[in-house]
Amino acid sequence: MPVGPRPATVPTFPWRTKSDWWVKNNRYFMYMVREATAIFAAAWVVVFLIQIPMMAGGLGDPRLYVGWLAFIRSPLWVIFSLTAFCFVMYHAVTFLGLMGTVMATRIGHLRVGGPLIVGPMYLVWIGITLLLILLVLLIPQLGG
Amino acid sequence: MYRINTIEPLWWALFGAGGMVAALILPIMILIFGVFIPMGAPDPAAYSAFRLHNLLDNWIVKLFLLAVIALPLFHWAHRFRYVLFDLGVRGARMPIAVACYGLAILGTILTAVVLIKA
Repeated sequence: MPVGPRPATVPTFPWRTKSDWWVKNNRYFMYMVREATAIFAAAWVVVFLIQIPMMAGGLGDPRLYVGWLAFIRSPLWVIFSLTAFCFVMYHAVTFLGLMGTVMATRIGHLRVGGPLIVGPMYLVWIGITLLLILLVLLIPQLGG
Repeated sequence: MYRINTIEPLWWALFGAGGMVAALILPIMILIFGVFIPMGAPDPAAYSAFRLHNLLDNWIVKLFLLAVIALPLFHWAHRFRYVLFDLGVRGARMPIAVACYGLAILGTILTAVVLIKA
């Protein structure tokens, strides 16, 4: 047993991995791209949030509505949205693919996982997508 | 002494919920409001000032938008916190966590205020 005063600093394992560990390996790179999808998702909802007062107030103050139309018709918003869409789709596909593993369960002796989970998840996804297209774009009478 | 991190499950649950929203709802929301309507939706009545006002006056729509906007913020907060860790930022763990989740909480409050006033 070493005897003596405690060292002023407790020795710890130093962080030896370089910050660019994910750049050269394709799988690690795509892992980081997947992490970055969250940035695009959050950035898009924030810019969408900014539009809500313009969308809601457009009836009382037409200038707000004209301003909103000018905003969404700018190429910047469309390009930003398309970029965010690509990233969010990458998140969606990998997220739904994961569900077959993380939500795997057993019913009696039957193991329910993989395609048995991922398949229905894709159906739910398609259902939500079609429902929103229907409610927002195709039935303007709703709330109109 | 084994210390149980009691707050982490909450952040993880919000992260998971945000991931679910970002996967299932955000893609079509982005297409509708970021591409279809700006490029000219089939029926302009779908986004008339009158209809947008009425829709945003509806509490179901408000709650839906609160979930669609706030949950991806928590999804971002949790991911970003750990991305910084992955990139080698080993110090300032508590300030980073407070900043990430704090921004998400602030965003949620802002969203709620905007939607209540809308």
